[in-house]
Amino acid sequence: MKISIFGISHATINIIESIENFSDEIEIFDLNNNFDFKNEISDKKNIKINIDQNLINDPKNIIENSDYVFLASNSDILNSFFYHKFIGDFDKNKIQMIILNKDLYEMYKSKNYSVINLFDSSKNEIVSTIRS
Amino acid sequence: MYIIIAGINNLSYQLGEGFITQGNEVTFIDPKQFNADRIEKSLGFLSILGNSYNKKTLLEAGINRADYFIAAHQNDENNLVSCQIAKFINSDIKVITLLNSKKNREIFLNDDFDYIVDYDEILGNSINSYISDYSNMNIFTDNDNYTEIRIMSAGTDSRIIGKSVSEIELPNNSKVIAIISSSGNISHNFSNTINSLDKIIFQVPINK
Repeated sequence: MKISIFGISHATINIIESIENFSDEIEIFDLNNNFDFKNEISDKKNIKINIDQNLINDPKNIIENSDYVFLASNSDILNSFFYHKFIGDFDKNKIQMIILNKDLYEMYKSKNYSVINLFDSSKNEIVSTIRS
Repeated sequence: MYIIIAGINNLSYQLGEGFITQGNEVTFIDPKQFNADRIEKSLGFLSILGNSYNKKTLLEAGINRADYFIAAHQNDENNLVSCQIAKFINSDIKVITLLNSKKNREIFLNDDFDYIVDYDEILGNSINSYISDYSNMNIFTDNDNYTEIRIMSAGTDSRIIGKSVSEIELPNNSKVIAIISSSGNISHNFSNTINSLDKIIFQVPINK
């Protein structure tokens, strides 16, 4: 099983720790490099980092060959933008986006989007999403 | 009417200025002090500093009583979320968004958006219109009489539509020969106004 994650943020490490036992390959995408993050995951196998500043214009690489996608950047608007870009071509039940702003989170929750917020997410919730 | 414009740039500035001239009430939302200062100097205290996808900022701008919300940011991700939250707070508001990239059109095709303004399309149409207004094609050169017969087409967005022949800028000393309508009718009544897809045939002198 391949899992893609967009965004290098505090949430990214939590997501990796929660899913690494259930995935054969994890690919992390971002627009900019983060060397601290790179060092932090250096001991983890099967994790690939893909930095591409053109992702905004051509984000489909993120979902290509992926079984699950997490949108976990620090930018709510980018996470939301990619979510909307992907739901036409990808099973929306297999995408999860993190929304940090509580009002936006509540709006998307009411629209039945697959959205998680750091206040009420837990590792188990993320894991159960993938195992279901 | 009360109109909230998200994003301050040349386009939204012109838009806001026009709305104010027509007697509407306008508020701009932008996160940059520099942009707010620009509005303050020329139009008055009409801007709120903040992100237009922030609920509290929208409430401060009076989203609940606004008739229109225009997302005019120059990136589609900002416009997308701003419109969604504006509509979420006030379901009666009419939401208009600027589309910056044609590739993103599909994400705006749902009930959260009432009207999409395609920036590339407007620009393209404007250029096409300009070219079709001010260009004409030589179809025959009469070397004996030192004249050319040229044809000018009125494209669908042409500025010459609705004008009479005397109001159109043609090369100096041109003589209009005929107007051919899109259905093929040939008219010599030059007081009629030009319709879309009409063609004007005219003679113009050339240097000996």
